[in-house]
Amino acid sequence: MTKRIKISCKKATLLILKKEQHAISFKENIQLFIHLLICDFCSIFKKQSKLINEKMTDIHTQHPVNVTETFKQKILSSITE
Amino acid sequence: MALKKQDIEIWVEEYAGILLSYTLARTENNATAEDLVQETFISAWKNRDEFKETASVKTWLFTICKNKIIDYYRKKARSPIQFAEAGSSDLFFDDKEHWQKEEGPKNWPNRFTMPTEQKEFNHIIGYCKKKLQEMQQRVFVLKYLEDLETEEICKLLNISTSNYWVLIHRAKLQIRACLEKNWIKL
Repeated sequence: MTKRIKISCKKATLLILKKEQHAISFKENIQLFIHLLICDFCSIFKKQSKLINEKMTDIHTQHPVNVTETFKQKILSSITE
Repeated sequence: MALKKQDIEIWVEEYAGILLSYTLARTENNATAEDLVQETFISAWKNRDEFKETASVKTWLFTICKNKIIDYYRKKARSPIQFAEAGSSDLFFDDKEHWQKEEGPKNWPNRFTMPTEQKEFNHIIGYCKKKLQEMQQRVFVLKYLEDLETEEICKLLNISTSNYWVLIHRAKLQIRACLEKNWIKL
């Protein structure tokens, strides 16, 4: 019984990612839940993975970079009437 | 609305910078990023009749640009690539597949959730992303930046679902470790 419930940290970290993308099965969900009760490292991983996802989404609202005149001219010269 | 060449000049002036930062975050080098921005404006000009005055220019340009990036990844997927060998994630785990003590995630201070950290995060994520293997990098960008569905990514990159999970798992483990080392500096 315990053999079927106990999973490694490698598996748990994968299941954390699967859960984020709603690709986790019922059994896996239970395995993960139990693992997280006893594993501090994986609990931290779960929190940080979520934080990274949020920060990645915020990249969409990033600031423009400087564009050289040469590059602007290059774009405009490639556009013909 | 009949768009004139002057309109495009204004668009380039106004949006080239933000589009370039968008493509830079999603590709491997400056030249590619610049090419994609250039192609975006060329397409915008060619398809100017489709542009509706009521729409936002910025949204329209970003839609074109996003498609250019996806096309870019689709084309790249056609050329053969070495598949990631086993091993890179095993650095983090011991022979029983539990965290190596010194590799285990450490608590990050709360200040790293502050918005002021975003700019620095963007910079460091670029650095960490470059350290991933090519295939991991592609999966990571398409998932976490382009927000595509798993099936779309598998189809686009011509990989199986189980390959997808192996790649995304390794990529996330490495990105996390890289951030802890270079951004958090505990």
